[in-house]
Amino acid sequence: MRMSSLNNIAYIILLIIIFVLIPLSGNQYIIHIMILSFINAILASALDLLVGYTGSLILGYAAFYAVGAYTSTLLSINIGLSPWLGVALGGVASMLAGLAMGIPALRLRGPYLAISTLGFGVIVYLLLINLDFITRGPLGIPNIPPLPGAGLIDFSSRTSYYYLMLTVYIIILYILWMLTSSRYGRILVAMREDEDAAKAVGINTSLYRISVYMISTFIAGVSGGFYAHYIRYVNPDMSSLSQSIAILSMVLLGGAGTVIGPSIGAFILMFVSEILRPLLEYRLLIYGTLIILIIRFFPGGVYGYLIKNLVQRKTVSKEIVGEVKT
Amino acid sequence: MSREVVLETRDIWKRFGGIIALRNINIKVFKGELLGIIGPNGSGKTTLFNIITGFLKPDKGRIILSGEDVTGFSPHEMVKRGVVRTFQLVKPFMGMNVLDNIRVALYMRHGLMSRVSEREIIGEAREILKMIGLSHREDVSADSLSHGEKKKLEIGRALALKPKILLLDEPTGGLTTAEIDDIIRLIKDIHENGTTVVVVEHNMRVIMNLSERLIALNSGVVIAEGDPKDVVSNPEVVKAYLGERFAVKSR
Ligand SMILES: Nc1ncnc2c1ncn2[C@@H]1O[C@H](COP(=O)(O)OP(=O)(O)O)[C@@H](O)[C@H]1O
Ligand SMILES: [Mg+2]
Repeated sequence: MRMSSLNNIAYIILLIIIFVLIPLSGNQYIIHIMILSFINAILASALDLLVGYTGSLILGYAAFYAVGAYTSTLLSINIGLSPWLGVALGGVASMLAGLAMGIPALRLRGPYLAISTLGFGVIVYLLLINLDFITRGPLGIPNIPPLPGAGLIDFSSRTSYYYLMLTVYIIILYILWMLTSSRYGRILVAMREDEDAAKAVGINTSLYRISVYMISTFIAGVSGGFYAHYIRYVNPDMSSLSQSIAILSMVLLGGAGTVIGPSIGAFILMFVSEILRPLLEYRLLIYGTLIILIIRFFPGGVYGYLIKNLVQRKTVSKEIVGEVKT
Repeated sequence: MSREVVLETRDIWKRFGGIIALRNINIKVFKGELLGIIGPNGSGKTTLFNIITGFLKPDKGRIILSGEDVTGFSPHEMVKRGVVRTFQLVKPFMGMNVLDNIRVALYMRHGLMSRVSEREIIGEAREILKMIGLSHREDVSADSLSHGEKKKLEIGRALALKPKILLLDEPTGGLTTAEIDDIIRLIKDIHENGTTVVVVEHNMRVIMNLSERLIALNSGVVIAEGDPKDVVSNPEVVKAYLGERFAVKSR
């Protein structure tokens, strides 16, 4: 193993230790924001699979978050299904929605794809509002049951939910890291770099595109489920355009196509938007401006910027820099 | 000729809006041969490759591969059957380095689930880099290669797929004389190793040096076919090519 990857592992372990220690502060407010940050980091990482690894600009992504949240909510409230199973089925429902969006959009690229996904997001939003006999419309659904405990652990406490989300977050990030650094991930990157060339080496690009849509939207649905059983209230705003733009901002701010970047973006934006809570009405404006500024001045996001200015200057590893590029 | 036909186009037509790019194309490719295709710009050579390799569907006609009707198949299905092409305008995986460009093709040849280790894949990729003369460039990002190197990478990536039939679209376009000689040698090697090669070329020196048999296209029609010397002296070919041949000579 090379020095640089040992270094990376050391950083990761350090980070995990910090995460594990945070609840010991006993600051309920920080713990709460951290839980939301984990959920959003999972969501943004899932979106990055599409944005960063297939080069598709997806504008309606919050729809999948909402589909996961509502599915799990309705199943646990109406038929008393275990929220655990609900979260998993929320992932499946979101994945089916991903297919519903992805298959018709297979031939679309660039702005056309962006617009069609935006349209999909709007449809889901309108359905959640108008199917009020199921969803209670704009009122949303309160009193969602929490995740039941397992053995000695009771997830109704905030601290235990924190550790649950930390665990889920680490597992999902590890899976995404394995996936993107595998042969499958390299094939995705090849498709992103040149679709015709990808076809010419025998890649069934439609099949790969569908598979990555399924993985991404499954994870998004799961994160929606975890959100619903934590906050115990959902409403159609989960699928709103501003929510979609917020997730996209996390990906771009942190650095698309870098596995870790979207998490950085999620943590920064979650804490910043807490600080800027009085400006909630201007959320969309702030995020929009942020996206434009990032794309203009920091196309690699925070992570790309750090790597370029810290790691590269120390001339450590070409590997990492390569990772950022691809 | 009693040689085995590996690829055949039957009555292929292709139209783009008002332009008929191919009219009733019937060609045969024989096993193990090195077939040249010439024709002025816009005569339909690239379109023919696009149709054979599944990038475009013909309006009419059939593609027969070793007796199997493969009309309308997707590019990946054609690759699986050993029909591999390069692009006239090179299309490397830009953000990836040279070695990874070849590696991706090798993943596809071995199958994503194959047990072939990464070490074996890299070994095989390096063999190919040696063959195309890019060993010293394996770490370099494909977008920083010279045009000549990109042309070689394009062929290398196709070779990684172990094609039965290799279709090369103007492999020497835009190259220097020295680079052209490299490519000619490379194509001859590939052919001598038993691969059937179809090469579209613009450069007369290259085509006369390489082809065993030659087909001339003009405005989407086959105007001559056979021994290369006969084809290039065919009055119709001379007429179609006249302007261009002078242009080439006076360079
Ligand atoms: N995708 C396309 N759309 C529209 N017209 C095309 C397309 N591809 C090729 N053509 C037209 O078809 C004709 C043949 O082009 P092409 O096959 O590229 O010729 P060549 O490779 O012999 O130079 C040209 O008139 C070209 O403009
Ligand atoms: Mg051409």
